[in-house]
Amino acid sequence: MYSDAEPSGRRVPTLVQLCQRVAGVNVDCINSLGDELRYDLVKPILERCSTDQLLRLEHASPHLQKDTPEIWRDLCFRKYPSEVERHAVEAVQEPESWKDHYFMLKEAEAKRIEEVGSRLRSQRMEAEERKKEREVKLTDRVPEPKRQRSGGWGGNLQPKTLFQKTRTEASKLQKTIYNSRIIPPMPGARNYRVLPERPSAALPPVPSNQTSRVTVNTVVHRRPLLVSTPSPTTLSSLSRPTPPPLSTSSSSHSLSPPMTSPIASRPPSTISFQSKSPLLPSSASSTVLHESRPFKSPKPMKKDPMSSLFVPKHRAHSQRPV
Amino acid sequence: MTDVEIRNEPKDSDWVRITSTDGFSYLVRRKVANVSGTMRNMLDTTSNYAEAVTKTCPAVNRHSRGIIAEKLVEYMCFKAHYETVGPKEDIPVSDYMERVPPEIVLELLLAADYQEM
Repeated sequence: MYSDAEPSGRRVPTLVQLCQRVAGVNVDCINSLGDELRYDLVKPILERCSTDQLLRLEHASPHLQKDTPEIWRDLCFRKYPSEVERHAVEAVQEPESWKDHYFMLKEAEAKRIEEVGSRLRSQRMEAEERKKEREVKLTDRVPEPKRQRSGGWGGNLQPKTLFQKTRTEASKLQKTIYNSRIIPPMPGARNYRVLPERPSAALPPVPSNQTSRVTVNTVVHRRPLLVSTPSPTTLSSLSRPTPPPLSTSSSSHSLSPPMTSPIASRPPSTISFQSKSPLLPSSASSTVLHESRPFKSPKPMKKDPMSSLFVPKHRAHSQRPV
Repeated sequence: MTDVEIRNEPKDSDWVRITSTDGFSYLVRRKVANVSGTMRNMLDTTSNYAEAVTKTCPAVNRHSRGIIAEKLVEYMCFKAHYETVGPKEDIPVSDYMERVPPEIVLELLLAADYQEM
């Protein structure tokens, strides 16, 4: 192929090879291969062509056509790799003309793409249509009048008289407005007594889980009787030892004097209260006997009835601190 | 076709003429002309070709334009030069390729094939 004199360690490509290379690069400039060029000379050029170029060159130089099937075959395999597998696995008989085979494959693919495209298009249209239906539309029609309030289902047998109508209305009103909410006693909820206590009644039971600073001691409270019926002599003997410590303690504690404050659970306390009055005349009415334990005023017994309106039914909705 | 130098023994440093149909001729050293297998045969003095005697040979057997002959000669010089170059040097093939205009490349291909180059 090239001249026999091989250069030392280097090969200058032959002019033929160089020409083939240059022509291959400029394949789109080539219009025709002419009549004189043999197939084996131009084969490298043809291998670099695209299908259109190949067609053109074949047409211009018909003498090449008998040799081109192998090029078409290569083109088929390059463009449709699935064909390679098909021919390798199934040992399919070689088509008569690879060129025709190529174009057949091309058409099949185009059809497939067209099908898929049209399917996508129709799906898209459908989606758009559905979307449009849900849009807000301008219309002239008046919306349907609302259905009558469950009236006349069975058919009113008689039209109601005015008196009957007012009665039903009034009863409805009564139910909604005038009924105060009755709080049913929930299991485990605190039992709040909201009505005022009668003096003689027992004190309300104190909830055990109360962690406030108030220490409430249930005491039996008897109103001090400021009547001087008991004999002062016997009582004074009883109470004599007590006053001095009591006086100090009482004076140190100054309390607002509601009579309902708890006091020590000593029955003699009432009596000593009474006896104390001559001892401490100044603070007689104001001081209240109590134990030396510190305490704070408990919850007031009398409750505002209006406050019941806002007590939530369920403990969960209550905003009171737990 | 034109005057030649007659030597008894061809040497590589001899000049030979390469002609084209449209009147162009190129003078090259024999060594260079021998790059082409065909030309070497033609110019071989052992044979009795007229070309050998006259030391001229046409570039192509049929029509070949001057430009083709020129490119052939150019290639021959290129190759003859780089044949002898050491292995370290790169051969600027692309340079030569750039100098070949695509318009003549097919003719050149034909001529090259004929010349066994």
